[in-house]
Amino acid sequence: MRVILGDNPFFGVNHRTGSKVLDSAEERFSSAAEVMVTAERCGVRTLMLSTHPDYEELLVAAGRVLPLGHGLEIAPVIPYPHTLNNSIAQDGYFGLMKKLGVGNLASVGLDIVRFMGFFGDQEGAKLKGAFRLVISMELAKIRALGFVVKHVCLHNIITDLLLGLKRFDILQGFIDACKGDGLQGVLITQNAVAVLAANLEGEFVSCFSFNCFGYMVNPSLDKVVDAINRPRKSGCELWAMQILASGAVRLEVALRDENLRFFDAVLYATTKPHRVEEFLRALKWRNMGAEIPL
Amino acid sequence: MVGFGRMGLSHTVIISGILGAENVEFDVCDPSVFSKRMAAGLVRGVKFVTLEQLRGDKGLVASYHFILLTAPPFLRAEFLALLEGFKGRVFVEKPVLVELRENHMSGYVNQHAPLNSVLRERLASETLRKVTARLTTNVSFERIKSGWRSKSYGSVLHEFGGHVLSLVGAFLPEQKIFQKPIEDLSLQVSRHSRDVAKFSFVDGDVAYSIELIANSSDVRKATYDVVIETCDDKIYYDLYSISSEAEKFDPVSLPETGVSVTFYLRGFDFTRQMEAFLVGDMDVLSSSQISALERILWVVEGKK
Repeated sequence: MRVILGDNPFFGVNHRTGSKVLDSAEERFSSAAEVMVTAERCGVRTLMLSTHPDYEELLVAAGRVLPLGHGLEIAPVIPYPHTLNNSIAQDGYFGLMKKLGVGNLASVGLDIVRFMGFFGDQEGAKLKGAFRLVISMELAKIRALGFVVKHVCLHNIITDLLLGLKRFDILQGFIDACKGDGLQGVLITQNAVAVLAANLEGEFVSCFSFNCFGYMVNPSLDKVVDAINRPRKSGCELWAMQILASGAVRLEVALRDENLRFFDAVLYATTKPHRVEEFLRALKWRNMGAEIPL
Repeated sequence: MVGFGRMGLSHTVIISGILGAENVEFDVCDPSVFSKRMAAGLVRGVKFVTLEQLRGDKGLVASYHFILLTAPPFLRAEFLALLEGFKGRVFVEKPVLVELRENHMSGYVNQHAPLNSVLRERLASETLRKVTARLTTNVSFERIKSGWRSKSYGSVLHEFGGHVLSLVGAFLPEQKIFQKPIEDLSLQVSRHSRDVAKFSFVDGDVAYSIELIANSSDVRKATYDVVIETCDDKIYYDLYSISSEAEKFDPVSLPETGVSVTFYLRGFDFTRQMEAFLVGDMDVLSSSQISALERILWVVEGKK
C-alpha cells in the first residue's frame, strides 16, 4: 500500500475543528516544507495538492529544502472550488468565464459551446478539451518549479456534482483528458458507492473517505464496504482518505480495519514531520507499508 | 427551480443525488442566458419556463411537486405572490421580507447542522445567561461593485445575519427565541457597514450578542463561533465541535459522531436540509420564528 501526503492542514482545512484563524502563509508553508522533506526521505512519493491561489508559494518553499533530484510527485487537485464559488457569487457565470480568459476559452470554444447546448446537443460534449486546458495550465506551473506530475485529481465538488446528475460522460471526458497528457485521472468523491457503480472506462483512481467510524463515508459504512468488496475493473485504483476521521479514530484502531486491504493507497496529512514517521512505522509494523526505508 | 445560480445548481444536484437523476424532472426559470446554458449543459432533460408563463398559467404552476426560489432576494416576494394557492412545497433560499406559510421552507441551512441536536440536549438542563455568536468570512461585500449583491441586500448582514440567528434558534432548547414582538427585545446596534454588523438584544432572560465580520483574511471560508454562558459554565460551539469550559460534559466533535448522508455535495447540512424539504419535515424553527428573525435584521438595517 502506498502513502499519499495530503495538503489540507497546510491550508488550514480541518474537518474536526472547522476553519480556524490561519497562521501566516510563511509559517504554514515553512512547516509544510519540513513535512514534505521528511515524507520524501521516508519514501513517500506523492503529495496531493489543491490548486489554492497560494500553492506555488508552498512549492517554492519546499523546493528550497528538498534534496536536488528529489522526484517528489505533485498530484494537483483541480479546480480550487472557493475561487470558483467566489467568482460566481460576485460576478455570476459570465464573470467566471471572463476570469478563465477569453484566449483560453477560444481554444476550447467548440467544446464549451456544445456543452452549453447552443447546437441543440443536449447530451453535451465531454468537455475533454476544457479539462485539458485547465490541466495544462497547472502542469506548466508545477513542472516549472521542478516537480513531477503523474496524477491529476478532480475536486470532489465537481466529481460529486457530475455524479449527482449522472453525467458520467463528462467524468469520462476528464479521465480521457488526463490520459491524453500521459497522466492518470483521480476522481475525488464523497459518494464512493456512486463512483464505483459508474460505467467509466480506462485507468483511473477513485479516492474517497473511508474510516471505521463511518464519518463522511456516504451513504453509509455498510454500503461502501459492500461496494469495495465487489470485483473491480482492471486499471481502477482505490485511494482512501480520512482513515483517521480527522483525528477521531486512533491510528492503531484505524489500521486494524481489514477493509483497508482493498485500497491501493491511503492519504495522510499532518503539519508535524515526526507524525509522518510515526504513521509510516505503524503501517510497516502491520505489513501494510511498502517502500519505507525507516 | 426559479433562479439557476450557485444555489440553484447546488440544490438541483443534491435533489438528483437523493432521489436519483432518472426520477426527477427539472424546469428552470431564469432570464440569464448563461444560467440557462449552464443548466442545459449539465441537467439532462431540463426544460425552461419564463416568468410570463408562470404568471399566466396556473395549471403549469400547479403541476409542480416542489418549487425552489433561489433567485436574488429582492425578487422572492414577487415570486411567492405568484404561488398563492400552490399546494406543493416551496423552498425559499433566504426569505427576506416574506411571510412563510406552512408549505414554505427557508434556506437557512445551519438549522440542519448535525451537532445542533447534541447541543440542544446538553443545554436542556442549563440556565442560559448570554449567547454570543460570531460569523467571520473572507468575502468582502464592500468590494462587490456590480450585480444585485452591490445593492443593500449584498451585505454581511443580509448574507449571513439570518444564518447566524437561525443557527442560534435551532440549538436552543424549546422554541423560546424569536416569539416576542421586536419592540420588546431592546435591540442595540453598535456597528453596521456592508462588511461589519454588530448588534445585541434581550429575549426572555437571555442576552444575545451577534457579530458579523466580512473581509477577514484570517479565515479560509465562513466560520461560526458561538459562546453560550450559563450560570456556571461557558460552552463553545462552532458547528464542528462542542466543548465546555467547566468540563461539565465531554467535548464532542463532528467526526466522532460518524455522520454520513445519502448524497454528499457540500456539507451534511445541505443534504439534510433538502431531505427535510423533500419529506416535508421543513424548518427546525417555526415560520413565525423565521419571520421574526428576519424582522430583527430589517430593524438593524434601518438603524444604519
